Amino acid sequence: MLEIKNLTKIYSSGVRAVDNLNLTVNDGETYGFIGHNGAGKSTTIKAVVGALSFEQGEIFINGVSLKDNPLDCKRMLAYIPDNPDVYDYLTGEQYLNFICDVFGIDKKEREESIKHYAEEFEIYDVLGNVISSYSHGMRQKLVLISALIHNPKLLVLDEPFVGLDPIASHKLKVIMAELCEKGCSIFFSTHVLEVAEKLCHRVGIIKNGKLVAEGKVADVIGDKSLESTFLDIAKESEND
Amino acid sequence: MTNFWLLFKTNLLSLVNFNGKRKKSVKVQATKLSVVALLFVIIVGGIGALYSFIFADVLKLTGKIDQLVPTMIGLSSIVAFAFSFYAVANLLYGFKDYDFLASLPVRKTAIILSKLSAMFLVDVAFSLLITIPAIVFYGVSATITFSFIAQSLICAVVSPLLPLTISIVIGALFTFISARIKFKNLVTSFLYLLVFAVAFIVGFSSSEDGNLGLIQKIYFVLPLLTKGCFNVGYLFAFIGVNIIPFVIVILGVSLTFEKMNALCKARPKNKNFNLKSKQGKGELHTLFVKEFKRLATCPLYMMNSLIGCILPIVGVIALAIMFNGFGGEIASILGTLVIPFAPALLVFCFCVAPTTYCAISIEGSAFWLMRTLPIDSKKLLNAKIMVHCVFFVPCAVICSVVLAITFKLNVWLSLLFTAFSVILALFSGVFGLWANLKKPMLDWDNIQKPVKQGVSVLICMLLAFALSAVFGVVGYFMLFGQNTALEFLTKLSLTLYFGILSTVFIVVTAFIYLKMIKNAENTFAKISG
Repeated sequence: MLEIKNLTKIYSSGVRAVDNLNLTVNDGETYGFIGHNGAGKSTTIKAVVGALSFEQGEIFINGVSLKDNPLDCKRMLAYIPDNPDVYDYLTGEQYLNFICDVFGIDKKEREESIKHYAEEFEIYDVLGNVISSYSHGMRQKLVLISALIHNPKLLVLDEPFVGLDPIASHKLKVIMAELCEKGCSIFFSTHVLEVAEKLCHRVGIIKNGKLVAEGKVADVIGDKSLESTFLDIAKESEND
Repeated sequence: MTNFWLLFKTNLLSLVNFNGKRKKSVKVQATKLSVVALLFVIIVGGIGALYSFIFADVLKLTGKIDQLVPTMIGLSSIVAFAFSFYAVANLLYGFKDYDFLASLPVRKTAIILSKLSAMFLVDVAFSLLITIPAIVFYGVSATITFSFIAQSLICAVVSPLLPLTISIVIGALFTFISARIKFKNLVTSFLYLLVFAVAFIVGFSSSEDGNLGLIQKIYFVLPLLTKGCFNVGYLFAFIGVNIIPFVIVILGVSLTFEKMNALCKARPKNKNFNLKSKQGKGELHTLFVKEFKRLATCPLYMMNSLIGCILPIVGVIALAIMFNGFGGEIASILGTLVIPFAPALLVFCFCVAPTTYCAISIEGSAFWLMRTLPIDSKKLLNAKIMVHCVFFVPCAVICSVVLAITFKLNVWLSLLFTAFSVILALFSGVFGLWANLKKPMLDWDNIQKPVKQGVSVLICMLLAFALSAVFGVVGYFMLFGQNTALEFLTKLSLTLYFGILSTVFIVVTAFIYLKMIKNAENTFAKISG
């Protein structure tokens, strides 16, 4: 579903945020992207969703080149950023309708989806209020709903569990599992290593813009925990 | 006081975005800032000199030349008020870092003063740049003393306090009134427009001395200011009139600061929510509705942009009323005197703040949506231009038709004048968007920044002033250019003039638009980083 080939991103300041990164996420797979602050996780994710241009390499979504057909790629994916900043002058309902309009979802389908997910995440009653009155968690839930209502083939999430209450966090994990069963691929970054360990089919560890370890969770961690594996890799890279 | 300086310095750094561009050398940044400051000095000083020159002529004839400097100080206060009275509430209430600042061991008055200080400093600079040329022109016509210069400059420095105080009172009052109302933004915009309309009607109700009468009527402390420029006792009275209400209002605001900010954050809840999904009519329509809502829900953005729409309509209607009683021939003659200056007025009103001048910046931290959703960037730009056209094109048509009827213009001239106005409206929208794409400001914490402080704001203002000056000069020489180097302008018919202007503007607009649309995707990618 997602194929990143030799991705390199150099910022105008000269910082090489991502360095020749290669990575593949298969259909129906959950891929956890792990790394310390400033490792290049968010830059990679932003490049994948088309928010950031890149100098070298290619990104394919379901075989379609992001560089050549950005709109076709964006129609297949949904992105949830680490900071749920959306149009806070709209009501939750108006925002979700805006997203549905952009993705061309018909009236009946959107009503069912909005109602279903809004009730699931317990924000249905506040959909008529302006987003500026929402708490961080409520905004996060709204962005989650907006990502789910158009049935994406690839869900890209940047630190999705930050700001969510335990119930919403649990629901998101269940929904992620359900989506994978339906064939949707999930590519997400996280600091919560326990979540990555439990949820992901495969994980990748990024350091200084380079993928330093990748594979099935069991293969990467061996008989250790993901946390100690991550710390070991971080130390090894520092010694190098 | 230390805390005030700390907060003030932080606000100033944020205003000039010095830290944000550390990667560039401090020298480059300092040069850029100096160029901007120099342009500000040249433009404002130039306008001050032009008005002083005109007013000095009028006042000399009526034997009131002593009123020149006070009148110019009064004028600068009115202009400062007109450009900022609707922005003060945004500085004081509902700003993003309120929770952080409120949690610091800092006095509320220090927070309030630090928020207002940047605006006050700009107003003082503006006031001085208007006053200094007036002092020079006064010195040419009358004997001038050192004490007069010193007293006038002191008056110029303290005079922005009064409009600022009135703006704070209006802002606090309107925030309080609208905070509990569901459509608070629309109510706030309406109230601000009402203030503007009242000031305009009060001004126009004065028939005495034209523009001078208008200044005297609106700036009600002008008699005290006039005496203050010549008499030390009255100078202290004028300082008191400015400082005492300001101190009282600041104390009042600090007492209600927490409550008012809490009120701003509290939103009326929809108790019995029922989902009412509506399907949009295509991508462009969806984007247009989004852009329209952005404008309609932000009183500051709405006021700042639409004032350029409202002003010419009110102006031409006032002209129509004034010249209503004149017969066909006299109206036509008057038209030949007024119409050559119409482009200068229209270009200023349309270009100074089109709705597009901050349409990209105002996306702010939600800009990622435009990059990650499957939205054609060309359609997004078109939607932003369409919102501008919805307001400015009808305004252009209304202004041209009213002027054509008032001054009994012939059919060809009427058509070409209308065409020029509409093309100018399109041009201002396209240029504003181009300027904002070149210099977007996405990392703001207060809506005031993209709307009033962005570089694109300055670019549009510069263009408006520059074009307005050029058209003003052309209009002047069309009427009075006999025996000058520009005598050929006197032979230029108005029909041909508007034909040439329309052609030039349509070519320039098409060029900028096509280039902008062609590079839309690359520009957006560049903005994203």
